[in-house]
Amino acid sequence: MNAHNPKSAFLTRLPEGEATQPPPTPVAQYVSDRKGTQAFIAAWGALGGTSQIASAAEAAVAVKTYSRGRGDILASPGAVEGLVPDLTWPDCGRQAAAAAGVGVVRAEAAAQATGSVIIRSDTNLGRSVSLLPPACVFVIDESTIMESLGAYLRRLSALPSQLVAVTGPSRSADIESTLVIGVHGPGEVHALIIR
Amino acid sequence: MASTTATEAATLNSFNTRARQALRDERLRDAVARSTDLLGSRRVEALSELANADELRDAAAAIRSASVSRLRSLLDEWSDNFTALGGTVHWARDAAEATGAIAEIVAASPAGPGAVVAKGKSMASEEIHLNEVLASAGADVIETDLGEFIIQLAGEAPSHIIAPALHKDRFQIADLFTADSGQAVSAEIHEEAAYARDRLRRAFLDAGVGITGVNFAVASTGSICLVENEGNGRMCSSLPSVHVAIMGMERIVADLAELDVMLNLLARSATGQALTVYTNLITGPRRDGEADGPENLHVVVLDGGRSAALHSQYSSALSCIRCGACLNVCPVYRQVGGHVYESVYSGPIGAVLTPILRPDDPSARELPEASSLCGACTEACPVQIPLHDLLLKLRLERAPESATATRRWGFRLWSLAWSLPLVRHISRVLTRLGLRCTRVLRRLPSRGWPGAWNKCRDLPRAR
Amino acid sequence: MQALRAAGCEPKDVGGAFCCGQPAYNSGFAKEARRVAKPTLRAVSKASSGDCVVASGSCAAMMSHYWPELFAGTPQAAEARRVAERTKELTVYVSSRLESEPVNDAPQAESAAEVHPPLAEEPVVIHDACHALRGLGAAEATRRALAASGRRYVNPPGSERCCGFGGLFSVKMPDVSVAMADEKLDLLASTGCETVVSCDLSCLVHLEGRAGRRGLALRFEHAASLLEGIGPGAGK
Ligand code: SF4
Repeated sequence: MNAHNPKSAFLTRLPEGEATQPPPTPVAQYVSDRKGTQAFIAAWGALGGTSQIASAAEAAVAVKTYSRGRGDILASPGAVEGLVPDLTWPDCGRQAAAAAGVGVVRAEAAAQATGSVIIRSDTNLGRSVSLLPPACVFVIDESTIMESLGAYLRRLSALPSQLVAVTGPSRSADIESTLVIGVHGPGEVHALIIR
Repeated sequence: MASTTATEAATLNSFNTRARQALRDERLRDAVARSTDLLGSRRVEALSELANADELRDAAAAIRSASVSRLRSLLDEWSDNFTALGGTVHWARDAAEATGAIAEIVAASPAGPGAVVAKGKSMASEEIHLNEVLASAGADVIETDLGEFIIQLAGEAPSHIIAPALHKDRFQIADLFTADSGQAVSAEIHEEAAYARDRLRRAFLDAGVGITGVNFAVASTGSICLVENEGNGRMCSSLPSVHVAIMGMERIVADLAELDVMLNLLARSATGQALTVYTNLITGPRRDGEADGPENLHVVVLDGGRSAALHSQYSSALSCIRCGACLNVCPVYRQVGGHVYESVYSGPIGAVLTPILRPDDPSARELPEASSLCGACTEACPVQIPLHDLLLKLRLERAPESATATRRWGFRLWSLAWSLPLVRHISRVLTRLGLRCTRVLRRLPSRGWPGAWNKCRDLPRAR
Repeated sequence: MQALRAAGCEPKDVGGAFCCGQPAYNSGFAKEARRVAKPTLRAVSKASSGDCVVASGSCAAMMSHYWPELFAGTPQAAEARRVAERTKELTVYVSSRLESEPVNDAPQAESAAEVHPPLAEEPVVIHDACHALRGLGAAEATRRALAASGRRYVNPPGSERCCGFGGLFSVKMPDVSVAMADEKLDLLASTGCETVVSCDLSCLVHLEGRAGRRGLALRFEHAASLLEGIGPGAGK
């Protein structure tokens, strides 16, 4: 490899390519009769996610109620107003986080068409809270529910180190094409929609 | 020359030999037919949820071919953006450069050369036989996609792009897991999944390095996008302090609008989902104020025969987004499964890509023959790669010099003969005659192509 | 011929037409394919400047899709392009005639019954040939044409799947090819129909050969023979 500049050594071997018209990027049109929050709840539900609508004041209680019997609550400070989690990320450390029962994160947006929740690494002090526990509560501001992931992406200006669209519970069909829920990521996902 | 033709004959027999073996394996054929039927029908259903599916497919095809034709500038733009965010790019012209770079990254990681390496699904890593290289350098590489984990334990290669262990049933898997754990794991699918979850969770938490593939790089933002269903890709790219992503150099789009078009088709074509469970868009390593995520993010950009393909008439094959739709509709794949292809990529795209990426590999040369040219693959491909035309082009380009002497001379003589009016007339008469004496003829041919027909099929009757 | 007359055309036999070159072309031998196809090209373009109707789906696909490429850069290039444009698969052609000159179904069936033995009541099962289905869009046409001939038909499950002929594929990879044929035959037989109809002769020969060897009680007819309204066993 050209030690001085491996990049140009690599790229000069590729054809220059003529400047062409940029290809079209049509917006997907979804066949669906529902709109808004109900459409999201339906799509999310079809994937196996549960949801509930609450006011901001009710949120902390809603999380507590959901978590009953599911184990310790893991959240970063201020994820939900008034919520005192059993484990506070990141102070609790990764081993403890991995033993938590429910992670609670703030969602950035949600997409009706596909039933997706969009989360960012810069709003939840990283990634572990929504990843390690077997259940996850996504706190979604109802006003951020939009048409599609594409609508969100096309409007996006600054990207965090990790942006994830979560579309249902973790799943696999690698054994005999049989659906298994909760393989590595959370197998229970709950959308707490704040009105 | 003589040796080339001899090898060709030998390898052609070997596809047939392997196919014969696969055809006797009822369990395999059932599994393949069932899985591909399911994936295929879900694809059709999922695409019907898009009111403008055809428009999106046209756009996706245009986006991919535009990307492939200006790879130089897109990769340039992407790598500038990616490096500005703190990522490191490694440009690998071949497998050796790629595995060398990754081995160095592992050795330099805090955990050192003996690190636990948690690996997500990556077809590019299969191309470069990464696991063997890392293992021989002392690393403890563990595949974390459930299907890949199964075939790693079995010591096999993936038999399908998106469902690598499609050929295994739960009893075989129970045996593998039992041997792995030293304790009995039952052949109950949920129990098997639970075993894998626990086993791999430890690996994620111990891993010093995470390795994943890349579905798309986004030039304008310097991002990489990784789609998956299990969460293992998220684990590999979030928990270890070093994340290495391997990317075939053609897997790039210009911006997020293009990415949106591709995402709308990828999961639908692959598994019939609107989107995979996790669509990860990674833009640089962990930042200030984030408590996790890799401190070091590397992307290895692999050429591995692609640039040669770029300059050929097969460049459209580089549009492939590895959805596997062409495998699921392929009637040949359906009968024999993926291992018969003896190549990283199987099915129609494997039969096209393998001889292109590995032009000097004699065993790849027979793959374009493994098709009836029915065109189902072309019809299914979300980015409109003319797969069966490419198979035909590969035959046209390579047959004249690589075919057996018998075949070459056969076609030459046949064409010379049939260009003479008299011979055409005689053969018409003979055909008519022959069609009336099939009972006699049936006993005659036993070798070569006539024999191949006659062994299992009656000769045509007169019409 | 009969089928075309039945559809109200005045066809003319192209005597010198022989082979489109597909076997060689699909095996990768373009030069040889050209050599064989040239007399056919000549004959067709000399015979008439009208539509060229081909009674075999894969030949029609070869002529209309691949001939321009095959003859590109040769003195016959323009000729090949012209013929390619004019080439039509038989059922597509017949059904397009139905469209442009809407025929009254009843008299059509009546006149067929006058000339030929009455049509059997038993429905036939259609095998869609891949070339016709994907290359020529003939699936719809075959059905329209059959319907116009008064014949009831059935679509088998897995109707879009290849029967495994694939030209020389059938002898280069005979085991896979036969496995494909077996699955197809099982699907066709599962409809309970006794007669399989296709617009591609080569698929039929392949399927019939395999069915014969397996001792299956299926009959195989080219769509053309049904369009003529002539029963089984008629000369081709
Ligand atoms: S060739 Fe097309 S259908 Fe096949 S895997 Fe690639 S993108 Fe999918």
